[in-house]
Amino acid sequence: MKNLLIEGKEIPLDKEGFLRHLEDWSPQVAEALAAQENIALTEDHWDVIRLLQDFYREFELSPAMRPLVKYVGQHLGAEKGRSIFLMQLFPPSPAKIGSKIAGLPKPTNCL
Amino acid sequence: MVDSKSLLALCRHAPYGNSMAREGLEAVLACAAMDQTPEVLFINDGVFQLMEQNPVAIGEKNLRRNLQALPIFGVETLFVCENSLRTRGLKPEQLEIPGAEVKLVKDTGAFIAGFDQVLSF
Repeated sequence: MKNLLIEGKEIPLDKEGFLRHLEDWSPQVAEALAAQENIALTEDHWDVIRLLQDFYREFELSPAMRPLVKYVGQHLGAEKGRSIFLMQLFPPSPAKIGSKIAGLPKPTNCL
Repeated sequence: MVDSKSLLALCRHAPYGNSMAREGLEAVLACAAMDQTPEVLFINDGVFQLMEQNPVAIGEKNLRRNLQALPIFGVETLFVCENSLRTRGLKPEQLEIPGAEVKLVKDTGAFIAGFDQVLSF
């Protein structure tokens, strides 16, 4: 995967497009990572991105799909805590694609 | 779909001396993500995994922080061997994991024998 170029700074990515250095993350980086997945970020996307980052701060790991659905349900309400909502935002694999755009490591139990 | 077998993961090792504790946690999380949520028993030095820890100095991720994710992965009860705690001079209050219920097990042999399959870490 090619590295990102954000405001003149080169941001290294691994071969699957995850950030090599988590501290490189910024909203601009998120926009660029999303663009690579053909996703235009809306307010709903940002809500989930912030939650993914909260999840990582709280547990020091990236969530798999089921826990992500549960966590979103706890924080954004049952209406959004459903896989279909997340699938629409981050197809085709919300835990993986969402983690990537939020600047988290690839979920370790993402089989 | 056949009936799934009951599954127990034994966590027997202290958190950072080797990679057993982390391997165990990752196996449990992977099972849970695949809808095969196991029960988890902390026994022997494994009980130390549940205590407050600060591994920044050795460049490790905080295992207890990871364990706190168990409830959201569907593992809401953490079983702990009572005898392992007592022989290490620990009290159950020192083991709190938010969102999970800690249950002490007296007769661990009988408890373990009640499962179809046991993974040992």
